Amino acid sequence: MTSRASYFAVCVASVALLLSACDEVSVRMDDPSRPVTLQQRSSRVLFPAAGIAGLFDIAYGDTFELSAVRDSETFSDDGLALGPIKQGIPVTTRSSRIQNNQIVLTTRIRAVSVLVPVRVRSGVELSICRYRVSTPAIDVVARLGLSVEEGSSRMEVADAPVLDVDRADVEVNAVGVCAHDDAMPEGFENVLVDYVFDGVSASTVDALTTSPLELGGVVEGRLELDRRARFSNRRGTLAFESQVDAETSVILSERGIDVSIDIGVSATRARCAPPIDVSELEPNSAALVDAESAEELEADVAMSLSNSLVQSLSHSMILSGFACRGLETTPSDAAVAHETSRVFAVEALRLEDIDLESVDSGTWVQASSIPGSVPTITPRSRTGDLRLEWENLTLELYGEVRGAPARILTLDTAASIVLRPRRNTVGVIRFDVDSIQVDSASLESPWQVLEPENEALEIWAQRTLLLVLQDQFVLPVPLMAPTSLRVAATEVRDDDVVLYMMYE
Amino acid sequence: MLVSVRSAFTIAAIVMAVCATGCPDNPSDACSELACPMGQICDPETGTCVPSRLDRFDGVLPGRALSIAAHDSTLYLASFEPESRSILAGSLGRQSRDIRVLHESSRSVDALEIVASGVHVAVVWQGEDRQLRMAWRSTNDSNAFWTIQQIQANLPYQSREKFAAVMTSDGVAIAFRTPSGTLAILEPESIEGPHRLVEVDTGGASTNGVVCPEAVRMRGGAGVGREPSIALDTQGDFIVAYQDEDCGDLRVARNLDDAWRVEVVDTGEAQIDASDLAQRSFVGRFSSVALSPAGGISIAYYDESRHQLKFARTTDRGWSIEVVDPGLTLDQRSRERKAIVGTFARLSYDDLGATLITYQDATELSVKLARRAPGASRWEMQTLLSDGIVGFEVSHAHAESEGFVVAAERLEPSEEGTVSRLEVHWE
Repeated sequence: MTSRASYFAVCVASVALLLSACDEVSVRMDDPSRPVTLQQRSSRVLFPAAGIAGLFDIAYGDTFELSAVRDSETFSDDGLALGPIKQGIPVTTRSSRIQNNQIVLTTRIRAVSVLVPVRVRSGVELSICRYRVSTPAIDVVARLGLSVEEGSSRMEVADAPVLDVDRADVEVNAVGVCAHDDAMPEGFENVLVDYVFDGVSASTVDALTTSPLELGGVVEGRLELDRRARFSNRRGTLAFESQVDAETSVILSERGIDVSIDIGVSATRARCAPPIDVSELEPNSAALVDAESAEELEADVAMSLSNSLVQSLSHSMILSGFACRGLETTPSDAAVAHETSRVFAVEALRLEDIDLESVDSGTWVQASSIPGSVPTITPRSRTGDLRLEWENLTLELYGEVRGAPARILTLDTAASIVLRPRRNTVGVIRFDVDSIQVDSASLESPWQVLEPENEALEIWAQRTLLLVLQDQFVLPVPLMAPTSLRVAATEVRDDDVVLYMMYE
Repeated sequence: MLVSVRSAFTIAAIVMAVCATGCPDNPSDACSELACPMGQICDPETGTCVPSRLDRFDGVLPGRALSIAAHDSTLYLASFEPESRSILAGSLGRQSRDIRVLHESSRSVDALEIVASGVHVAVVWQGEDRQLRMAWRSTNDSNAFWTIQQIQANLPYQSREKFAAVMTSDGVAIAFRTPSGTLAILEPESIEGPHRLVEVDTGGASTNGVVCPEAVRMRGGAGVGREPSIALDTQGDFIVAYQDEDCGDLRVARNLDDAWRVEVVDTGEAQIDASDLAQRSFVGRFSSVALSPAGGISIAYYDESRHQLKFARTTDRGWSIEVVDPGLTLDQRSRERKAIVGTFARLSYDDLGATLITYQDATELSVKLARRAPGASRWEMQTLLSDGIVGFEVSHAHAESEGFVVAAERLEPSEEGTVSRLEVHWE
């Protein structure tokens, strides 16, 4: 549970507009120190009807676990005892549809071959014979309903599963020599077949009675994430809490399974972040995910995140130090750690554009970013992107002089950044920097002889921000699915951002 | 006159290679101008090669590759003038100076060391052929006459790297990294040489059991011995601090009872024997070793992973390691900013036993002093040189007449390029 929750916390906490998804954090689940205000229905998850079979595919793989136990001491009047049986049977396909607010899940099993031990008691003598029950195919049709009680929900098989099988094709054969073969009672073979089919039904009921939240990777919990930065001024704490919304909870309908989640975040400030008081945002709820869109996109799962959640996550992450970046790697330790983030070839910076061509700064430049404010994030449904208004973002650039790092310049900017979600990313939500508009830029450099023209500086600042920030806006998918999720498409709506995802 | 002396100097330099046997000692074997080694001329009266009178340098002193040293009341300086490619050396005071052109090089010189004792003052640099050269004179002789010599032919010295020198009772010892990534020392038999090459550390396991894994060695390929610093203990034995560049560790080698003992002092983590290399940081650059008044070994160095100044010293329980300056300061927006501090560190103790470390703040581009009084636990920081770009190369010395002197390179950007200047802080 801890590892699942930890992973979940890391993922969900990263649902902020961060400057990377690769932060090292330690997770604390006990004794949370900060109160967190939950934002009601700030996230909605939809498992579309057609995709529910996929959940079982992911959870159980391509094996049907057949298990049937009969009390071995209870012998029939004929002195026979069947079983037990326990084996995995390959599943060919699973399919699902919703009918009368129930999930109709069909599991197709082909080339069924089940070995059944039969114990025969004759007087005080006990011997075991083995029979193989085989059939070309069985379709197990189960109707699943949703049970919600006291905040917890689980799926239950409504009636006994229906086995669609042609009994004429079922064969029963003895395996090896059985001394009692001739002594078996009439209809013994049917008893064996019924025993196996009963086992299939019972196993189906056991397997499908499960929590839809767990099945879909939705985890509830309260966690605190400490950023384990190399520099002490970058160490802050992000507190995170999520729970299924008590009012709307989990709903099974013709759309599929809808889950409404209340999420809250707060931050303990890292000293690198500005000591600003982030005013309470007016929370808004995420809207239901459009089921038709999810079906059209063949999404296995779709998730919406409210604007206020994205905004408050972003603020909390920045205040807890996650946006203070750079100087973590040197060229020498990058060779060991395989990290090269924020290290650029000096030519790429075109320092000559701001009259700094005389700086003998070596071959590489490192960038360090320090937020001076938290950005305002505005989703733009018309253009399908997010606009960040950042009042202050400071960049420091370091080069190599006389074999040692040295600051070349400090750039203070106010900028508007347009982010567009990228399609077809696996495991992460990646935003491309679509455009950057520099509202103001000021440069401080002891290396500077001539002041650059304001226009030239803004153009250079724009290009530098693009260089430094590109590929930095990456968020892990905030669901703890047992397999990778590919973000097939995203949608920016008026109230939220929607992710349409498929299992890999 | 200036031209003629320089010409003679140049000619002498050209013929240095053919004068392999040095000067004829016998006046009857009268030398010729062409037969004397670099920096010497033939004295027609005695018929022997004698040091030539060096030109005085009266220009603005550069700070490139600077090094200062003091003995008694005299402060000595060596630095490189990039425009004329001149190696300069001489004495320096608040009111006066006597700086001479030791040599005009055909290429840039990145590392210079000046060392002084009561008997000699010597300057070491890397020549055009990448062999180490040394100029020396008696402290009592005129500053105009220096003997210049090649230390050892075909010495395996890695180009353009910092090396370290120390004056011993016999002469000048030099620690450096070899091309094969080992630490070596040139031990002198006398001030004139010859020097004996001793391999000190080949990068194997240290005596305190810390290993740099072979796979990392193979991948890094740089070995040990980077940016060494050398001192003598109370017995006159060598102590060398340096970086293992492959693993990013601070190492120290000591010559005890004629055997070298290599210890890994700091791997950058609390657990020095951390086997997971990913848990280690890169530390140990710009190391500066000194002997404390109590005779213990102390090392100031730069932690290049955390960009901070560190200090290690021997105690009864082994090495004690502390962060002197983490490089954290508040800015105008009340953000605590991370600065890069600790490069070009230099360590010494004053007469009262206070620990002094000068180093560069590479974010502010200034020179700072960390001072800790004897018995105190806190370091006090002070910015000595600032405004502009200063601190590439920082050196300090204690001279009786001048007190604590800190010299650093100042870079002055201009439209034509960046000019190197010497900046001196007189206490």
